[in-house]
Amino acid sequence: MIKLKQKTRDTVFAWCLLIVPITHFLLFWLYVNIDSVLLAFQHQTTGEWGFDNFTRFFNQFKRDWAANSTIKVAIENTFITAFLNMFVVEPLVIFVAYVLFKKYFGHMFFRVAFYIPGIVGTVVTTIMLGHILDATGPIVLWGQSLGIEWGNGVLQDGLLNNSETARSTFHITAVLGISGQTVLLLTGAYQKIPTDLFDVGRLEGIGMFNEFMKLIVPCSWSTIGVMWVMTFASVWGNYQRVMLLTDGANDTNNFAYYMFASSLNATKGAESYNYPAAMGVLLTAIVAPLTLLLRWLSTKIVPDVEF
Amino acid sequence: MIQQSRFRERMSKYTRQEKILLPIFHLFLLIMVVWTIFPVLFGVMNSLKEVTEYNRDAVSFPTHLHWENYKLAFELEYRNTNVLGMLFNTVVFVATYSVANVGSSLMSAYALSRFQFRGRTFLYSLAVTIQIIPIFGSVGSSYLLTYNLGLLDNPALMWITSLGGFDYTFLIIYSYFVNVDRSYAEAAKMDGASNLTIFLKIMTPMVMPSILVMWLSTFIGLWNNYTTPLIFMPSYPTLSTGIYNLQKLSEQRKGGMTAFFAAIMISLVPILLVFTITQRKIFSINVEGGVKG
Repeated sequence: MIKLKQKTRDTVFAWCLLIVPITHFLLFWLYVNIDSVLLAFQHQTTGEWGFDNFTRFFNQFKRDWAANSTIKVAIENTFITAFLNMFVVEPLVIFVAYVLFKKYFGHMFFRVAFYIPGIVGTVVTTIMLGHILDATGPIVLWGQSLGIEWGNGVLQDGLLNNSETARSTFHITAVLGISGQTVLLLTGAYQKIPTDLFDVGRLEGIGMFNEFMKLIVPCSWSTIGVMWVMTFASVWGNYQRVMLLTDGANDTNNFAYYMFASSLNATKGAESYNYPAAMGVLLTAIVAPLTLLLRWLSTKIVPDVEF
Repeated sequence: MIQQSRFRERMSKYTRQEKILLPIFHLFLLIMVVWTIFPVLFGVMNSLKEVTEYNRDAVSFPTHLHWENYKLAFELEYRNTNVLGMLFNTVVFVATYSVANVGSSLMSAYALSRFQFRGRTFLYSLAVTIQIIPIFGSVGSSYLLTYNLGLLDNPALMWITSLGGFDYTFLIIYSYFVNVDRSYAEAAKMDGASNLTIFLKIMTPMVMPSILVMWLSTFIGLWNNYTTPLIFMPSYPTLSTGIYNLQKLSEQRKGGMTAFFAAIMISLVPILLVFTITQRKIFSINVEGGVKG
């Protein structure tokens, strides 16, 4: 019987463990994405190669741009969401994590409270939010009692079903929903900063603001930077809020949902698979390099710190 | 008196700036928390109202508690599946998917962290890269693939699609394996233990806390996942999918919206129980393992 060398046995064992994950990757990631690119360049009925799906998209884009409708609104909303998430929500999360990290009074309560929506899930919280913003919901009623004049549209249809208020309501409510998971991860990153640095800072007499800006942010930038980049990347694929809250009505659609709805229609036979695939290729071609650029920029802005 | 002195002692630790800013921070955090938790409280409150009372006034507390809404909630159906059926589908979906996903990640994490072989660095870089680069629009292609493989609407086989071993779970378990003391494994090897024995009986138990937490995290994520069952298992609605679809149907049904709110609350009970039991562990892993670029 041939006795294999230990090194060979180790290598064979490692590859045996990797068979399942690699096969899955080849089939459900690599094949799926290659197939998606191929679909994008195929005619939906004849199967001929070409740019028909892209032409269809650009024609639709031109029409919608001129008419200030679907695709234009979806792209605008995606940019607004990206901006709000990166420059309002993310800094807010970074700051909330700092306050919790400092273990001020009630930090455990806030930690659990912020985590609860992640447990309850997007479906439940978003559906309930829809009812809260309804014409008979608390926001409209309490607003009225505070003297806000909503107008007949809101009093009849609610804040999200009214074309005048839906878009702004959609974006404002998104800002207030911070992720407890991200807060926790950042708190973990802050805890890795050596306590000596805080002691030195205290002796130097730096205040909270300086501690946050000059110690916390630079020392945990590798984590903050990754989260910032991931936030940017995830915005382009996030359709769930639109799907659950408004179904894209009243100028609340975003590009991810426009694309997802086309894919969903394709699975029901109401649309071809090729058109959403073409949109996916276009979006990937724009967002993937931008994500990598942002990642590169984030490493250049603040040099990585190792403890 | 004792409480007052404790309060004074605690306040003496804070700087003047902190004493001024803390009430503002707390007020701000409280507003955020109220906004975060209010949807659930609103649901609980209205799940106990009579339909006419809800239609008349959705904001006040219920005048009488109508627990019968919860009985009606169990009768709600979507695609011939009632809430109990949806709960069963959810448990099957979540259990199979989470075990498959964490199991596959465990295997890849162990192989890449423990053994030196050609292609190891490439595979690790690949795992990191595919998580950074966003790729869009592949839903149609995934749907076609699962259809062609006979996995579509097939709960017995659909879990195969979750065998991905190069995701976030992989990165976390990998980071734990890298830091595990290898002397036990080396000693076992000297005693003639096989690679499989070392993997299953020595190394895996040493990272078991991280595996359990990642499994719980995956479990919670899958419990709330509504798009996968919606697209790939339309005949087997889970609680999330059912609730998403029931919303549109509830206004016309017996029990109306209040029974629908009760169904939502029922769907939360199992996951909140799991969270309550395991929250310490979930928080510990999230705090210990920050994402590093």
